[in-house]
Amino acid sequence: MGLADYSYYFVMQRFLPVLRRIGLVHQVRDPQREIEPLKVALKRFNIKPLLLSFAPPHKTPVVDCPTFPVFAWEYSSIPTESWGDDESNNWQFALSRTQGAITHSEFAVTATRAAMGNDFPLCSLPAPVWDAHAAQTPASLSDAEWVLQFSGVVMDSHELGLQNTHDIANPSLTRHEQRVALRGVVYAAVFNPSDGRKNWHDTLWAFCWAFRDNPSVTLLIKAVYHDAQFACEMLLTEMKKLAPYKCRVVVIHGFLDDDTYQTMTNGVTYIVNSSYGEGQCLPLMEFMSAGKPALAPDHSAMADYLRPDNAFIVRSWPEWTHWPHDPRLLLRTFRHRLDWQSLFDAYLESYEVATTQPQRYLAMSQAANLALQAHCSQQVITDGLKKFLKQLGFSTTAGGILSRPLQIYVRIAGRQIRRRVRRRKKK
Amino acid sequence: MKFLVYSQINKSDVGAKLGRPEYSYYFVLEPFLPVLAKLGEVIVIHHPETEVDTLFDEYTQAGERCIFICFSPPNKSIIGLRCPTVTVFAWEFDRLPNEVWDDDPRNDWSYVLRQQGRAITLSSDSARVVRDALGDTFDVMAIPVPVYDRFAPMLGDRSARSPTLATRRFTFAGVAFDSGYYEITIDSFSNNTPANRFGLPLWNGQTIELDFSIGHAGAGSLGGFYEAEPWGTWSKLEQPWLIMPVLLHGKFSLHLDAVGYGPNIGRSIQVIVGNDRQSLLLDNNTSTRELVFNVEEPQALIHLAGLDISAIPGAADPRTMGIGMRSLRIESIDMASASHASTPASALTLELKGVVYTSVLNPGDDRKNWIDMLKAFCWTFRDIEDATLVLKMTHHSLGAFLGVFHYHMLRIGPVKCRVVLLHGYLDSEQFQQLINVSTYYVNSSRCEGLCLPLMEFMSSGVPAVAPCNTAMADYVTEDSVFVVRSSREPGIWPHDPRTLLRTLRYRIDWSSLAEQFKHSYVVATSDPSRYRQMSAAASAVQRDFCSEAVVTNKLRQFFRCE
Repeated sequence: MGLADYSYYFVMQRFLPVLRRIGLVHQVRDPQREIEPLKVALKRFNIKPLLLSFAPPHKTPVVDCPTFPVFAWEYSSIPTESWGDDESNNWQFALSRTQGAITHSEFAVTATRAAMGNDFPLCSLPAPVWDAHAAQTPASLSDAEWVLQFSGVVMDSHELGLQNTHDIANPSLTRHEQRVALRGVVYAAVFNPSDGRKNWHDTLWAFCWAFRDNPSVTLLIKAVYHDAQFACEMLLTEMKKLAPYKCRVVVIHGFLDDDTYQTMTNGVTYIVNSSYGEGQCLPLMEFMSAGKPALAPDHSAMADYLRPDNAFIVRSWPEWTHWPHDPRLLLRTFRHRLDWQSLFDAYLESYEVATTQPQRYLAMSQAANLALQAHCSQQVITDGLKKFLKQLGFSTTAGGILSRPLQIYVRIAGRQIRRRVRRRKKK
Repeated sequence: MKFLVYSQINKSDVGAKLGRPEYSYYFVLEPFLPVLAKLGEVIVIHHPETEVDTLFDEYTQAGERCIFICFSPPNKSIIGLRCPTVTVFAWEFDRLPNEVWDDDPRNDWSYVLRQQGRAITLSSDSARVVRDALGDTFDVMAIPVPVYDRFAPMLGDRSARSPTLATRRFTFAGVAFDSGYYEITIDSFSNNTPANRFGLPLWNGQTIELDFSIGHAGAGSLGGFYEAEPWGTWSKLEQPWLIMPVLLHGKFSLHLDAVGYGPNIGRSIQVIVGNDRQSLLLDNNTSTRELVFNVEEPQALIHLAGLDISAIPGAADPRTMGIGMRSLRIESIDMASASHASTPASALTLELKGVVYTSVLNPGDDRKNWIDMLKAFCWTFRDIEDATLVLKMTHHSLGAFLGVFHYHMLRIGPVKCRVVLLHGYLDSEQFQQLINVSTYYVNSSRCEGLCLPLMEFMSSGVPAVAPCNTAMADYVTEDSVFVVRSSREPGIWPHDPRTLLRTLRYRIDWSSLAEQFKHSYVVATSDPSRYRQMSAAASAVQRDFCSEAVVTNKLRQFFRCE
């Protein structure tokens, strides 16, 4: 969890139901070995397969089969130079060997088009997450207590004593059965604390600064990372720097099954994001589908679905930076820096709305639900994919589709070991 | 009326202590002296604990009023004296330090100021912060440093400057690093500055020791390396180099503590100084090797060649490391073989043309945010030749900024604009010359207690590119400055060892900074009448803010003089 290609696995999982509506889906482990025999077999039925590679363009396998990388990208330009001994680091080159590409935002389409030209087949299809999370009933603001039960690690600023001092004993971070009770206004944030692009410090700082004197508001942080100890220590270090504060910060780490995850998306009031850029931002999309308005900047992928009527939009500005996986660190692109004051103001305004303007909250909640339906329902994505493939000459009723499963690279003592994840897991 | 005045750093040691935290207080005290002298007799104190009360008793006996003015942050001020004491201090954050650590009650500034009963701050913003902590009726006044009169005469009979764009010269007795002499490509980074154009002094034979781990000055001497780490620094390019603080010459031994990476373990590389090259066998443990060089022509650079930076297949770390430098020591064996007499470096003359943006700052002070300035300048003017950024680095050590500069220039890549870094003490005449050759002053700070250079340049009629936060809000106007947007973010009190987030400072809007660079360039090159308007406005606003007349009046009010 929390490794570089981790999120590709989850994106692929969410696309599978859509792909199955369109054609036959076969997950391929080793494209170089498996594709040729499959092509031969399918040819007998007059089926022309295509390969969807859920991975960044430089990891696209080169096989004799129409290939489409499905990739996320959150920067203003795609890499158009190579480094090391690998020419496919230059995505212009890597993509030129494919038949087109699918990405998850108009922002990424624009960046890719700038490098590939207007004739390169390209479309934006966000992961179809709406249906699994769509609110069945409109969100209501209630003060009732709700509970999260799971196996994992919890850090609760109230239990740690951070309302009184920054100088607390370090808690033991062992994994066991947890029962976390929440009530009142709850802000949720879901991120990998070791991913610098998430800029989560701003989310935490602005919350503690805005609600320093308010004991009845909570920030619920779901930490996504394979090492619970490491993740929690990073978060605890920051939690201490702002103490004392009366508001409650709860960090949870551990696997939530589908029902528990839904309890969480149903129970919180708002979802928060303060990142430098997003390829799509699954947590934001999931919570908004569940009818929770967002506090987030409207740059990169988020510009596709955030509106003033469904979110408290936070100001940001562009900053010169390097492509995140470019070891030369050369300044070639732009990311977005958050206006912290704007996030602080958004916390205060959103709290005001949640506690004194139920009508406005309801309207925002419904708007969030509707916006995400139009953005990423299975229906919308199915139609979009069908249209894209049809334009390229693929018949989607009788056609077959091969998709490559995500390979998760697990690092042990410097070596890379490929391990395929068997079970269907949610974050 | 007797004024006893004190600052920790005084005239005699100010040159050596460039960039230390208390350094700038001398430059606060010094301009106040002639102004205070109009209101009473000024006596400079060197040992306040012993001298102040003795003098106080003496003057009180003789029927004279006596006040002790301490120019320092409150935690370094003196309490418990019989003599009435006033602290004059700069503060750029949103909250007065009011917590105790290290068992020093003076870390709670409200305690110190309450003991003293009154205070002078250098900006309205900090006066407000004092009142927030001590109550609206606390006797605090914002009195700026009287800068205007010393710099206004530069305007002469003109009421405003016209933009200077033609070629002009600036002579400087210090060290200069000029991006014009650097050759930067994706794979290489070389410094082709002729030895005599650096302004470095000739080596006097004293042993040179450099440490390349994080926080040490040596890390600042590197070109073509990654950022310093706790153990040392890895090279990045195939031909990295080091710049010495002096011009090496004669016969000397070079002891290098370094390690090879990957294919460089067991590999022999070249270490080159001038015409002399020696082989160095790299090992997989850091080990010290001694090489002997004989160099006739003085040299500033040590080059490394022959590294193998080809990618290692399947490597977890994708960086192109070759050699890891831990430390270096150079000892003179024989200086007699040098054919040059030991003369101090002669003054450098820089030729500047087009729009020149100048900033004077301490690169070791994180609040100055100079990397944002460097990136915004290079991004905006990447295709424009006649834009120059001159950074006068106020710090005693090259290591505070040079390595960082190299690291970022490599990331920025080849650009047409020019960046010049100056290092060394500027006397007042050279400083005025620097003002003369500048088109604009630039500030990109996260917060300021005052910013004397900005006030000085504006007093001389030089418009600025700057934010309008903290102390700058007292004098930055849209008429005189291309205002850069900034907004609040949490910060630490810089002297707080607990590094807790206790206050607010500002985050500079990088795109606004780039935008204002562009806007100011357009005005300077195509709208001279607008430029002149801004020049006149800059000078006028400083006159109303910090002329001797204005400051004398405020002091008279505060000290209740007749």
